[in-house]
Amino acid sequence: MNALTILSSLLGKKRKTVSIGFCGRVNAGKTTLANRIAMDLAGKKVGKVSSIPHETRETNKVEHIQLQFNGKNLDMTLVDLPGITTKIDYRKFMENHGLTKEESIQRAKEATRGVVEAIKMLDQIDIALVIVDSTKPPFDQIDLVIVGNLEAKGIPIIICANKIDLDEANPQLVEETFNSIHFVVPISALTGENIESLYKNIIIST
Amino acid sequence: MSKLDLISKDAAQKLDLETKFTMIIDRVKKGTILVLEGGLSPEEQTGLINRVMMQIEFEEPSFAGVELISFFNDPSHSSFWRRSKRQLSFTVVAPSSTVKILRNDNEILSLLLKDSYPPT
Repeated sequence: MNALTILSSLLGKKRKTVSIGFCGRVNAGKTTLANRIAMDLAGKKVGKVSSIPHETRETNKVEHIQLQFNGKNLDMTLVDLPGITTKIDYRKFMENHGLTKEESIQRAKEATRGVVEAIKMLDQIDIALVIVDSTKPPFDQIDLVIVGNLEAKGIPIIICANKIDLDEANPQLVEETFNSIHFVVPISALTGENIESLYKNIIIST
Repeated sequence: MSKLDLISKDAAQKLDLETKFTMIIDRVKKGTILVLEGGLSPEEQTGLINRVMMQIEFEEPSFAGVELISFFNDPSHSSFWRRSKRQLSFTVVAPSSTVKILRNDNEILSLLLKDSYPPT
């Protein structure tokens, strides 16, 4: 508990906590971005990162991450959701990543449960960071389904055009696609490039 | 050999949501590609994804999920915002084992049919 929290408690004033959801397709960089923010602001990690799809198969939360920006302070709970997909074939883990059949089936079973959990959690977040892999075309049906659901629930959305550190990234296309209504922030979760712009947009969205 | 069923808007509207999901999944699990006139809303699509996840199989031959693609009435409205405002024209649901999406950019949907999936 930091000094500000203690002072607020003593004064009987409870500060509002805002849950920030990291949503998107599988391997878009959700956990990498959640880790980047948690490390940057609190020196801790949210979850494990891997090149094997569906590394995050359960929701990970880190509470009381303090964001101070432009004189404002925000108490955040970072909610890292499993990736959402329409298909999970356990054989891909064997063919592409060298997992055994048992490991692959186990991972696939946990991943299916993770997708169900991620969809359920879309109801329980205050601000959604939709992580889009800007090295791929942004017209994926999953992005559309996620954004459409969040819009229907009235949840503020920030589109994070991730992976701008890669040569093939095209964050301009992501901006052209989404920019008419939602904040779009080109970002590299890996290097932290443009993270300040994301903080600014989170503060504006609250 | 693959089969394609076009479900009219009228026929789809007569079904309650659960019956609609059951109808879609039953057909797709048999290897059928479904085209739903009028399309599925984003909320309906998450409901369908939920049920698909619960149906995924881990024994041979396995059902590994679906490809889900929605098309919109006015291709000139290419922005995501306009796309999400439900100018839905149709939704395609296909078994992921038989179909590979070659192109989907709101002008052309191009699917490659594979023969690896053994329809029952």
